[in-house]
Amino acid sequence: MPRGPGTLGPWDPGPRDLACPASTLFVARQTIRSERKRVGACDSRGWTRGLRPRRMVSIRAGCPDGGGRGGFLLRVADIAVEAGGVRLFAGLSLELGEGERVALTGPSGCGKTTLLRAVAGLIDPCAGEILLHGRPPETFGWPAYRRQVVLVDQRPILFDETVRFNLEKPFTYRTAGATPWPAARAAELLEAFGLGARRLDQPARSLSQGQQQRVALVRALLLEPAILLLDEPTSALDPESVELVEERLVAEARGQGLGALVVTHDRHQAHRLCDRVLDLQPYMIAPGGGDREAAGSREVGDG
Amino acid sequence: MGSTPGSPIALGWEDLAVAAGLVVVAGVISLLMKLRIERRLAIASLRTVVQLLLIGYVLEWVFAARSLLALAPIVMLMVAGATHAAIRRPRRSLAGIGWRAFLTLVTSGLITTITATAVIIGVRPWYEPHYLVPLLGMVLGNTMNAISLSVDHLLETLTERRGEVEMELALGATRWEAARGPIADAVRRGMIPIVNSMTVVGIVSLPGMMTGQILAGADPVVAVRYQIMIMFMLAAGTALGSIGMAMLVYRRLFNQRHQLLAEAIRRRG
Repeated sequence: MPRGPGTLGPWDPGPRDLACPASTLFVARQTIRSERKRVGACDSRGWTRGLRPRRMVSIRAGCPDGGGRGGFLLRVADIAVEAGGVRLFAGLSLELGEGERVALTGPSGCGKTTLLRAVAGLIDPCAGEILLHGRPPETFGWPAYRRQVVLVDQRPILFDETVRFNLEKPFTYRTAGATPWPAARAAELLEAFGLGARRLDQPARSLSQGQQQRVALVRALLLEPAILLLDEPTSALDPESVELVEERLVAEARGQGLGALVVTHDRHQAHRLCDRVLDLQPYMIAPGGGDREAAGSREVGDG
Repeated sequence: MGSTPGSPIALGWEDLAVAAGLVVVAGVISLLMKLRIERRLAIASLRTVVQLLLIGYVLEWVFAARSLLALAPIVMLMVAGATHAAIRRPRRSLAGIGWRAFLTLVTSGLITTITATAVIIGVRPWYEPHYLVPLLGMVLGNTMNAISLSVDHLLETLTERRGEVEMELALGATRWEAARGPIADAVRRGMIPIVNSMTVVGIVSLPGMMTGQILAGADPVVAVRYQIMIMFMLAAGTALGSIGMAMLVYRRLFNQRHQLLAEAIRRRG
């Protein structure tokens, strides 16, 4: 699809003294698209919704410099998503370095889950691009890409089979190649998440919601992805389990360089788990593209 | 009305009037018990008479013509009718399901029927309407049911278990790996009726075609051989139909980027 004429410059993320400038290249661009007249893509006044970083908080100084290790792990540029003819958001960009965790916060319904689904390639963005290791997903093949960038739903979805079946299933896919089922790591991860290896032969759906959520996390971690897309990963967990999960995720990030985009409503969790918090805020893009109406206090700068 | 076995007894209008009496009995029961199906029963009976008389005359003409040109429109009409019936019943639908059902029915119907007339029965010419039309009718009737059932099941599964399918995709499954389970279930669902009737044929039910041949004075053993051939044709036809249709729906609902396009599924309302 042709890009419209009015692609504005990058949004200045603010003072340059943020802890890691290289990986804070969040740019909110308003991709003004010529065919915005599509039915339903606009509200009654013809404004469309955008999603932009309202505020970006860098938590840890000296967070991994993605650019320094041969480029960013994941780069999402100028992404826009429509669902059912309605523009959910537009002009969102973010970059993620190796081992880096970014929390996504924002009001309910602002499109955080949709953003994760778009990054996972389960829905098509109508504009923008996604690059993993600098390559577009189709060069890996979408299934292979998704194996690298694994989405874990908020509501854990497990097969009505044993826990073992659920964990082994992804290793039967073609994208698994000859990767053997890592039995030892599975047992170790279950143990680390307070589940215990004896759960392996239990029917997955007989577990509590919180246990199922952890099984889903173990299943994703077993694939040893480059990036996890976590949608409120601990929403069903008790405080002790939350701690176990968070500790493990941070350890995986430090050890294996696992990156993560984490949707969370818990500010404290964002601080414990992530290097940066990206607070998203919906705003409106005017029909002509020139004007915009900021819903928040901060005005978007013209680049 | 005396007759020797071996030649059918023709039914006159007065005989059919007596048969209609059977329907009237059902209608009276409906009225007495306030089942309120008498109206629909009357309409259905009328349709039976009109449609069958009409097709009787048409077939008479087609059989007399014995030409492919006369046969083709009849075949197309039969397939169109089957298509209409096949896509009306599923609880969910999707854009472009009509031509997919038509294509599936034409292909599976003609492959099995022409194999039967040209190779198995070996009638010359292969399109001899006496053989082709009734055989095709039987295959289409069963295949359309199979298509209905499998489409219904597939669309229902992909809607209800959308999360599960997308979860598999998210874990690196190809679209085929994610869809394989629902597709297999749908094909199985489509083939249950024919497999059931193959299991009990001759024990619980005497198939209509065999009954017809026996009534027409054919040797039961000959009739049985025909019936066996037909059951096999129906098995093949419904299998081809269910699989073909499930694959066409699969190609529509999963794109090149291995996404499930669940929004394309519409609830019938």
